[in-house]
Amino acid sequence: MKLKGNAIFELFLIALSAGMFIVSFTYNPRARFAPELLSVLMFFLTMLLFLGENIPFFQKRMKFMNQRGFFTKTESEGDNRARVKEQSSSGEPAQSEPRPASGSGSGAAFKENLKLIRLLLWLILFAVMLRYVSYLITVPVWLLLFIKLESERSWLQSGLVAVGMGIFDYVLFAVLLRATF
Amino acid sequence: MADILRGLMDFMAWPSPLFMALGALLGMLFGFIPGLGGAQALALLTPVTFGMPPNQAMAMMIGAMGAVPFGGSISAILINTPGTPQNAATTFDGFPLTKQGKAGFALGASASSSVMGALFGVVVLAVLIPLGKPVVLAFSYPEYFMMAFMGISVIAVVSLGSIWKGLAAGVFGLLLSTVGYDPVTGSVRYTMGFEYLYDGIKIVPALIGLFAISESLEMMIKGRDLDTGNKAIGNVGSGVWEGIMATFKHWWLFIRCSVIGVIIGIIPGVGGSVSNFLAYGHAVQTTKDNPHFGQGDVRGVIAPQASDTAKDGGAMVPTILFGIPGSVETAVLLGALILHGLQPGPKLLLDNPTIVYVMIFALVASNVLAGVLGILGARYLAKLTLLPVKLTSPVIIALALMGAYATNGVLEDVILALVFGVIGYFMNKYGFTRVPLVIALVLGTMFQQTYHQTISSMGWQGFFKRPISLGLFLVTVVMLVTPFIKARQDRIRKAKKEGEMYEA
Amino acid sequence: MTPKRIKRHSAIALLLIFMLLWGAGCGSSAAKDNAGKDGAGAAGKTVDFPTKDITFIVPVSPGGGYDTYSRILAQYMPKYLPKPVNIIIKNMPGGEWNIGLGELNRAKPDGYTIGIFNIPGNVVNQIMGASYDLNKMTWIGRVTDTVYVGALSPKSKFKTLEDLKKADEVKVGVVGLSSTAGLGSLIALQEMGIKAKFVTHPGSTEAVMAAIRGDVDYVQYPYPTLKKFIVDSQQLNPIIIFYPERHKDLPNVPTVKEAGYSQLLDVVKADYLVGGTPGIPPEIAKILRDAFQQTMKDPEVMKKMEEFGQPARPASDEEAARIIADSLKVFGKYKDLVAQNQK
Repeated sequence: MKLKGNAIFELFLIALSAGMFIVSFTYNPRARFAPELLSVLMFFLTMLLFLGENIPFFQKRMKFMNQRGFFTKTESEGDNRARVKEQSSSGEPAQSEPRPASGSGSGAAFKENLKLIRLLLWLILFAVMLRYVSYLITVPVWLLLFIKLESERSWLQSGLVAVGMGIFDYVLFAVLLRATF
Repeated sequence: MADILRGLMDFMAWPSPLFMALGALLGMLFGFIPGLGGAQALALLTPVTFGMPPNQAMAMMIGAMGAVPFGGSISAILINTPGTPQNAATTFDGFPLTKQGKAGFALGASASSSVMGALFGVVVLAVLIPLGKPVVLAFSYPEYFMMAFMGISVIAVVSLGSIWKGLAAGVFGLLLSTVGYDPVTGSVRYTMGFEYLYDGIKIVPALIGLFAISESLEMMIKGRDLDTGNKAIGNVGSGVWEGIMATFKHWWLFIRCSVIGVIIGIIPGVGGSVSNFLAYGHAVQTTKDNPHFGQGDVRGVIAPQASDTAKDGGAMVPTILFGIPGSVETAVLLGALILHGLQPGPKLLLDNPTIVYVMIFALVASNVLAGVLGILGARYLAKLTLLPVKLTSPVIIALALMGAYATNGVLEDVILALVFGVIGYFMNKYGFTRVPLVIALVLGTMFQQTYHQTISSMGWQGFFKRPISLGLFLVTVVMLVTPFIKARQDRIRKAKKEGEMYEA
Repeated sequence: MTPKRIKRHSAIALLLIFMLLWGAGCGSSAAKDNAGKDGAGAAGKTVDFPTKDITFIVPVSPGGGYDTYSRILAQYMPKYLPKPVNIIIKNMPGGEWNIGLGELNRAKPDGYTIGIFNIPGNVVNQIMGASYDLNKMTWIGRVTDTVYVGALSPKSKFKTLEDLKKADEVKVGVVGLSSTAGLGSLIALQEMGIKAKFVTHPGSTEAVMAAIRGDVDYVQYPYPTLKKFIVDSQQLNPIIIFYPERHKDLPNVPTVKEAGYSQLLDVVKADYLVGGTPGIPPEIAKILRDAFQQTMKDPEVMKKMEEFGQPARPASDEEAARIIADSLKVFGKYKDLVAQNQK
């Protein structure tokens, strides 16, 4: 069986809550009260979600999993449409029809993940630069490179944004806040 | 009365208004930048105001403090990142409005509700100074606990999409709030050996990650600009006036939310992080006609903003009556008062009543100024949302990460923001709303600590023996149960109409 | 109005604010230029220090006592340095001082990073395993030491120290048991044979507030923290003061010596020390120490600190080092008590 993204995410949450539950036993009884209770709760909730969404056997038997948020009580047509649009635009396959979204979309999903990894590398670069060179250099240089290479804009545009933000940062953090980091 | 007049004269004496205005501009800027907030603005101004007479110094500092909530709402509405934790609830509906191309409308509503909320708070403050003492003393551990409980139960009301995923996100937030010092025994939990995590997961970098970073990641990955859905693309800035009027149209909601803000401001130590959630939850709960909260309902902007600014007036009550700061900002303010040779606390009102009134007038004036500037600038600010995502996202990321970095100058804050950015991205992608996580993370520690405080000082009966605590508890139960019953009734009615019970 | 004009207006307004703040900074440093001249002579050896701004780490959030004293120092100390550079306060709260002190400990030992210390709180952290060694810090001097006061809630059923000793259970408001004040309460009540039940709070103001409300019976905090509640107003009743003789503001409050617990005098107190990264060159340390001592004698500084509730009680760097050594010895004894109460 091939695991979908949401299944992996839910498994991650299950593992996390199980891990936190186990670790909580190293704390004294009063300190572990809250984490213990919460991690058990979280474990079962995410387990329920995982089974209900990914295993057809449970999917059929746990209709209550489709319960929507409480406050959107007016289930008018217009409202429904708005929500579906909201969800599909935020990347979640509309829940009532989870199957068809996965098959054709695997190539797109792969591309999406690749892009996510690339963006994360950019973000890590920002953090590393902050660590080793001053923020006064980090911000303009990172922006210049990012807008030129990742956003594929002209040097002029990236240069202007970089210089503008560099000056703004200098005035705000160095002059006003007298930042010493 | 004479004191009030003298206070007004002192406040109007040049150059106090100028300093107030400069302070307000700075406050707006600091409010706008995620990561920086009122406490940083005041800490910056403390040395600047050393040489000034106390009146001018207070005008400047209160000016900065008053303008922060509105400044924070601008980034909440435009870039889906609360400028300060107190603006977290403003993003819930403010940003969906922006997505629909109604940024001007949202900004107008935020400006007017912020200004009116501040006025409301100050009027209550003036009336309430003689009555404040019993109010402050009436709230003890069980009441604090019930308020945190109420705030957390807002989760059930505001979860979009799957209620189960909303609950899971909420429990996840509570679980994360147990990281760090245990509030009872002082032993540390889940720190993985990092000293940084001893104080728990810090709210500001977590918010920056969950909102600014994850939103930017998503927009860049999808490669979609903000207003693709909007046909009338040139009109994002219109509707400012309608936004302003929206506050008046929903005046009854506005007043109720301002009352929530004032009361929470008065209670020391609870602060703005609760009031905006409670006000938002209240708005969602009580709105009957055609609600579409979470998808761009202007009432979801008015409610948290009104309570946010009304809270500032309330927070002055414990500061003036007891010398006890009601919030982080007022704590810095108390330090500044001391440096100016003024002893905060009950004596201040006896020895130096004019300075108290100068503070009150400055609070009003800075809110009005920020609101007016906001209204004038709204249509231009709204245009920012038309810029291509490929340009704005990196700028937002750089700004947000710098904001996270600047609060304490430690790199760990940046890393935490990145981690939460990834968590937020995946949560959003797989249909877990981030709102419950934020609410639970913010209120988790208070929830835990007040629970233990109540148990150890009053026993479990403490929760139900005290009238206010019991009242809050019952209100929460009603709040949780009514929508459930209503939804059931609706479903039955609908099922009858359609002749079928379920359609999954 | 046209959009362009508004943009220009806001740009001008912003520019104004920056110029003003910039000007304020420059103005004050220019004024200091003359006063610093003779400080340079005292340094003896010709070291070019300072040539840039000095960072002053305050490991707590802005607003409290340590922050206020640090800000007073940062305001006046530049006047007595050979060159009037700015001293910039950097609040690094978190981890019960460990975050800020960790940063201070790791900084370059060039004298440009100094900070304030809280003794015995930091000593306790070291005993419980913090990353720094206080014995190795470059000490600059002591700002003051605080006198602790124990106070009862007016709504409590106990009125005197004797009542407390007889009670089955006394509710005590603290922040955490490993904080200086919390530890002081723990040890003092233990030595006096009082059966205490500790209720923890997120901050000292919340603990004091709980006592005003009557939710806890007893709080024990430094005099400056409690001054406005026991002298300026009678919201709490002071019952004991941890000081060898009676305090001038509280002539009716018995001392811990009168109560017969003189041994607590060395334990229940707090020293505010100023120090720098381990290994600052002695000639640079001397410049800082001289400037510090001169600052502490500045009448304006003394007046501000007095107003805050705790007058300056400066001491030398050698004295500071001795305080650390003593404190480490005294609290080594209580290590088990602390560890036991963290369970």
